[in-house]
Amino acid sequence: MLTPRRVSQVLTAVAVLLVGLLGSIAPGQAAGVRGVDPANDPCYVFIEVSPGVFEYVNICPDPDEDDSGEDGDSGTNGPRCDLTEEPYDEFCLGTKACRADIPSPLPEDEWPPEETRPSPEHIFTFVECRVPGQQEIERRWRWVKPYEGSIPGLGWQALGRLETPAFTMTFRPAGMTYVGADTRYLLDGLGDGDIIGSVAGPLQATGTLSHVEIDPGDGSDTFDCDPDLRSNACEHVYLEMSHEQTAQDLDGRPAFAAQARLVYDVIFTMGGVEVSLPGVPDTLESPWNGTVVPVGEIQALVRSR
Amino acid sequence: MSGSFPRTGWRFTVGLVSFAVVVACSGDDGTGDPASPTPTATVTQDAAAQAEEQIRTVFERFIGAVVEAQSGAADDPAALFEGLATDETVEFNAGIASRYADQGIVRVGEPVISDVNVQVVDRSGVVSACMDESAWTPQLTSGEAIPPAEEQLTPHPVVYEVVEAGGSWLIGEAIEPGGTITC
Repeated sequence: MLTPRRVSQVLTAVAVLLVGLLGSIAPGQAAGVRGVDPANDPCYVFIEVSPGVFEYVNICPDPDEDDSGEDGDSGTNGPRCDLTEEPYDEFCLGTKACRADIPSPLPEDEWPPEETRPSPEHIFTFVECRVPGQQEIERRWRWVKPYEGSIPGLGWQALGRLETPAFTMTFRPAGMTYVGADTRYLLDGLGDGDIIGSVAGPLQATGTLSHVEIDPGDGSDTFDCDPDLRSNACEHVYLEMSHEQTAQDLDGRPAFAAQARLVYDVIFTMGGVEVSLPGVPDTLESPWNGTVVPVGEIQALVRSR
Repeated sequence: MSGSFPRTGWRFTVGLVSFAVVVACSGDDGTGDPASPTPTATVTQDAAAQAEEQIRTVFERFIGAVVEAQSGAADDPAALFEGLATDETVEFNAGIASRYADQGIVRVGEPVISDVNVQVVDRSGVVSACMDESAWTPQLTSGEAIPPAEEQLTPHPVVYEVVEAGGSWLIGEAIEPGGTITC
């Protein structure tokens, strides 16, 4: 029997359905759709896998991967999958034997929203797994925690994220120096000497200023200097005038093109603990940056007295 | 790796093609070689128009194949692209279809393609278009809806390189639109 109460329930249901349908048809109403749709499932994300080409991806782990929170780690229970067949021999996802593209071929700004990331150590990349009892290889874009063997690859990425500061170089005596005199070089803009890169998956690179290399520009050898140039400047004695040089200072005086670069010692940390990465450089050099140094004869000083 | 990404080489190719198009166009309206008879230019223009027409047709069929591959209806998605795309692009699209099949995802409806533009020089070129995916909705094979992503609801540019192989045109890799196309 159709009671008024029943009719009212049906009408309400129809109204809700219509609102849902209209919401899904109207463009630019994504937020509305997400609000109304019961299948508001954070498992499905839309990623740009190639320029202008998008793909929906289920980023939630399969039920049989539930206990794989420690995937990739050398767990105490040993691997639960068979890692003997190349190339699916890198890490286990439950009982699946997998390999992953590391570093990820997808730039980070194309990765799914941060709230879907299981932990800061996870990276979003293309993973291929051999599933026991299944002929076909499972291929999927997904969040994975990089396994131990993939860390050097990420080390290079972390190293690339270290930015050396843009410093300036000056010298004393200011403006012009003289043959035989002590010329002191000063660098500004070094900060506190430490540089910290943004994280690459689970890895972070930190650089500590080790020393400065100075090229006086007069053909003599490059030499190393103490990093704290403000209190302990590097010195060099020019043995010839710069009058034949092509470089000029702001006043048009011929000058030596002196330059410096910063050399950092780099360490990598994972979860705050330092790790050693064979094959990845443990130093980083900044680009050369310099100034022009006009060098005159000391007699000029004598005449001026 | 199944993902297909732009390479500097293609950017160069596209740049070269664009440059060549400009050169070719400026050659057309300038004072050509007096010894060269007008019919040659007409033939060349006809050939270019013919190539453009072929590319438009291939592109339309290619998009049709993409839609069918992702609809879950095809047993062999790669076969849909036969004669329409380069091996890499076939593999790339078959990869998406296969991953959809694995995850029980299908897309129903189809995208709306507009503003198709073809630039071609000799045996390669690019085809660009605007793609509106708002009516190409994702769902699970069980029929359950997947909430469409916000990005899907705004038309976006697509650019593919095209190459001639064995007398017919094939769709190659997707390349960065480079901000010159607005949809």
